[in-house]
Formats: sequence, structure tokens, C-alpha cells
Amino acid sequence: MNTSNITRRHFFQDCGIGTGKIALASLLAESAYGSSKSPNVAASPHSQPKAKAVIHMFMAGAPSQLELFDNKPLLTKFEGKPIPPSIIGGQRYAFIRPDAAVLGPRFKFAKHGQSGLELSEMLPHLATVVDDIAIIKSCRTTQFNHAPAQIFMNTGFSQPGRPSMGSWITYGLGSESRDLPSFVVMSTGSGISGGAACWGSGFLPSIYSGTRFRNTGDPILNVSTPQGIEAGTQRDTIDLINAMNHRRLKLDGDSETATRIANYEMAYRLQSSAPELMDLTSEDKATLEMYGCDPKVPSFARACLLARRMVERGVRFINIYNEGWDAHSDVAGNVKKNCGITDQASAALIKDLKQRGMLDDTLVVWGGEFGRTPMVEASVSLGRSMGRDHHPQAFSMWMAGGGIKGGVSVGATDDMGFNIIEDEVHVPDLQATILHCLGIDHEHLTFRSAGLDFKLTGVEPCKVVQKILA
Amino acid sequence: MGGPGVYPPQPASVTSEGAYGKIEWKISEGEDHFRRSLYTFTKRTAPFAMATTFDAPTGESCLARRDVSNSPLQALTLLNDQMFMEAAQAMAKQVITESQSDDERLTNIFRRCTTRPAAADELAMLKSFLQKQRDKKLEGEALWAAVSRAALNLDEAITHP
Repeated sequence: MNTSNITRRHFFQDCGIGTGKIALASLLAESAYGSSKSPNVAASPHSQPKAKAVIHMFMAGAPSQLELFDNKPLLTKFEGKPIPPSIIGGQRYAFIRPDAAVLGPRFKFAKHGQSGLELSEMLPHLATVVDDIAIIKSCRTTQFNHAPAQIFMNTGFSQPGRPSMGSWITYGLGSESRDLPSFVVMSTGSGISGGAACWGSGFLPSIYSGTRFRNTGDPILNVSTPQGIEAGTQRDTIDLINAMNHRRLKLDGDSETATRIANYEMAYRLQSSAPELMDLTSEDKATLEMYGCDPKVPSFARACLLARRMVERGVRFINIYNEGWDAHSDVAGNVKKNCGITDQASAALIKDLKQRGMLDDTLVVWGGEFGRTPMVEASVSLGRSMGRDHHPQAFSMWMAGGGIKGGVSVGATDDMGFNIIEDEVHVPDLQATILHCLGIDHEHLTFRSAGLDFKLTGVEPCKVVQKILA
Repeated sequence: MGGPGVYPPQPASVTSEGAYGKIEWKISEGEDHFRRSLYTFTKRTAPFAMATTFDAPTGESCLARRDVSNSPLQALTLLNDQMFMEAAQAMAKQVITESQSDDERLTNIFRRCTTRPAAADELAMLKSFLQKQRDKKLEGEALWAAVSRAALNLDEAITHP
């Protein structure tokens, strides 16, 4: 900083807000992009991290656990009869009456792998990696509708406006990529009810928001040079902007100007790193076939392959949304269709990470925002039959990779699949577990806002799911 | 309010992918193309992308003070977004009419963006850029739009009065 040239006006204008802001700004610019240093606690993690990246496959719409993971033969026996009111308690439903008849599982289950974990016939690919995953059959949420439940799963609070898991984690751990955003969001199904609040940064600085990678047009908005501007002109333009900004930086030493110079270089790198990431020509045929990925067509499979490439390039947190599991009618058809989209690629991701030695430090999470009722949903007026309604009391998820023990199943529901009877795992428990795998103590990753020290997992006591830890 | 929401340019993927209830973002024409952003249509699950990139509050919770950030995605927007490209082109048109010589035009552009005259060394940098683009066979409005685009991206143009 050349102090001799600072004018009185600049002193009051640029420095009057205090040096705190300046220091923070330069730290922030480095933390979401381009430095492993972070402004927060977890620059040195609380405990030895097992995972350094997370891929969260979010099955939006809520898959039916009863057709996938949680085998309840008793439902077949009682099919057509109501569940005893003693089990249902006071629960009310959006579309069905609590005395609606039970619907038996639509698919057969079988044991797989050395672990002998049970999966439905709709998950033949997952069955081949079952010894690498931990299934939690006792997940529970407090939220009954899609948008609040998705936002709760992502942010620990049911209303929009809190930081999402990806934001907390990149805030805590910083970035390992100099050329890509550290928190990326992909979506391949229909719309996500929770919307942008699912990957927003809430009260954390907005640089910790998830960056959307899009299926059509630019993968990152405005990552291509506009029509009529040649590549050479783009480089000249950035050189000119940065030279003139350097001149200004010498005059007043505002670190925001230094940050801007770095950001224009980063923007230029993104213009080549994003297309390089998206270009799948270097992937061999066997890999593409394993995922079931046509490199030219946006799909869940392509998003999974891109997620592996992102982890290789240092991206910290990746959300892949597949929306479409909301089976109010024809649960069998819904599960079949969505497993057709997701099963092969989800299993391929595990295999691919494993064969490249990346599974040990990449945490993979698969699941939706709640479960589906053991009772049938049917309505002549709505044209629905053989469906299942929303069920926050119990649902299943699985995790694999960094810090997770393979081939285990945790938790159990009652014989009707209605309530949890063993090892309840509430949403904040899942979040605490994900943070734990990354070496973060959920009690100590906090941010002060409105006079309170907020944390992802909220104020109710919660715990790391020890039984699935490696 | 003085009228319904308007749809300034933004890529179609913002509201067609992943947004709950897709809407077609039909870019407004005429005066609505240039209305104040107060009138920009906003969708909760897929807000106007530029607003998000530049820290606009989501309206989802109270905010006593807006965030101020400085990010690579902002640089990409200012460099490449259609709205800013159109602004650079409009500035080029006007400057070509208002000023004749290279020096006058460069000075005009710089002053419009920073509210002060360019210093001699700044003018020299702009001239060198101009020459490089002429060597690349840029001319007329395209040439001056390239200069305007660079000037609009200066730190001093973006945040410093």
C-alpha cells in the first residue's frame, strides 16, 4: 500500500468503515474460491476428517422407503384393512384419511452381498455395491410438505433463509479448487419445491451460496464470452481492466480492489475450466456405460459423472437433485420410473469413486425429504389410485464413502412401517453425521446473526449416528 | 406500483430448470426492457439470476443490512451478460455520435463510467487496447462497444463513486 498518495477524501470514503471490513473482505474472497484457508474455525478441523468432499443425491419428492429399503411383508397380509388407530395416533394427512387401508409393498425384496442387506428388486445396481453402503431405515423429519421438508433437510430449519449444508461446509472448510466454485448444485428432474432456499447461504456471506450448473446454455450463467467478442479480445479486456484496477489499487490500497482483480482472473479461468469439466470426451466407453450416460444429453447419470469430475477438481459440496418421487398415485410405476433414472448411476458413482481410490475421502448421501405412508392413497375425484401419501414419521436413506461403514443397516420401524422403534435418526442427526465425517463438530460450527450464534443443527440436542461410522 | 412485473434479459435456463412451476422468461420489449429492477419479476424458487449474484435479499427473512460481496460470478455477469453487453453497445452508439476523434471518444467513455476525466496514463492504456482491437479487425460500433464494455467493468465504475 502506497500511503503517500492517499487523499483525505479516500481516507474517509474508503477507510472510514474500519479495517475490519477490509480484512474480512480479502479473507472471504479467498475462502469460497481458491484457498484452503478459511476465515472460520474449521481451517483446522475439530477432528481428523475422513471425507473432504460430499455428493448429496437429493431424491426430491420423497421416494417410497416401502418399495426400496424397508421390507414390510405384514403390509401384504393386512392389505385392504386399516391400520389400528393406536399406531396412527393423531396424525392427519394431506390427501388420505388416517383409516385408509394398508397397501402391501409392490416389489420383492432379497438379501445381497456379504452383508446380506435387504433391497427391493427395483435396485439391482445398488445391490452390487450394497457392502459399501450404510442404510438408515429410521430417518425422521418434522416436516410434512415438500418445500419446508427439503429446506429443513438442507438448512436445519423449515422456513427459507438459513444457510444450507453446502454453505456451512464451504464456510467452515474453505475451497480446494482454484478454478471452480466450491459448492455446486445440479438438477435433472422437474422443479424443486424448496427452490433456491435449498442452496442459499442465508445469513452467511453470499459467496457461500451454491452455484447452479445448468443443463442448457452455459453450465454456469455467463461463462461463455458473448457473441461478437473473440477470445483474444476477452483476454485483452481482462488485462486492461486489471491493469487499470492495479493503478487504482496503488493509489488507495483498498483490498476490495485487489479482490476484484483476483475475481476477474478467476472468471477468466472459469471460462475454460467449466467447459473442460463438462467435456466428457476424455471419459472412456466403459465409464460412460457404467453410469448409463450419454455425454451429450443432460441426465441424472451425467450429473453423477460430472460430480465425480468435480470432486477430482477440488469441489467441496455437490447437490444433485432428482425431483419426481412424489407418488400420490401408482407408487409402483413411480418407483420403477425413478429407479430407472437413478439406480444405475448412483451405484456407478460408488464403483467409480472406489476404483479411483476416491471413495475413502468422498461422502456420498442418497435420500429424500420424508417417506411415504404404509396406507394407500386413492381418490376418484383426483384420479389417484395405488399411491402413497407423505410420511414424516419414518423413511430410509443411505450413505457411503468417507467415514461411513459399508454393509450396515441401522434402525428399524414397526411391522407396519409406520413408526420408528429402534435408533431414531432425526434430520439434525443426519446433518451432524455429515459434518462429523468432514471433521467438523456440529456444536462448534457457528455464525453470529441477529445476536445469536446459529448452527446448522439448531438448538435441540442431536447426535452423530455412531453406528454407521467406519 | 407503476405497472406489472417486467422481464429483462436473462438465460432461459434460470426459470426452466429446477424451478418449481416452470415459467417461460419472455424478455420484455420496448420501455419494459429497461425498467428499474424494482419492477423485475421475481420467482421465489428461481429468483432473477443477476439479483442473486449481486446479493439482493431474497425477502425470505428480515435483513437489517445487505450483504456486500465481490465474487467471480459477478465478474462473469458484468463481462458477459446480455444486459451489460447491451449497455456497452448503447454507450458505443452514443459516443460515436457525440465525439469524433479517438481521444475524445475514449475520454467520453471513461468519464461516463467513472465521472472523472482519464489521467494521461489511463488514456494511454485505453488507446493501446483500442489499437489491439483494431488490429483484430474490429471497427465501428463493435470496436467502441468493446472499449465501453471494458470501462463499465472497472472497479471504479462498479463500486467507487
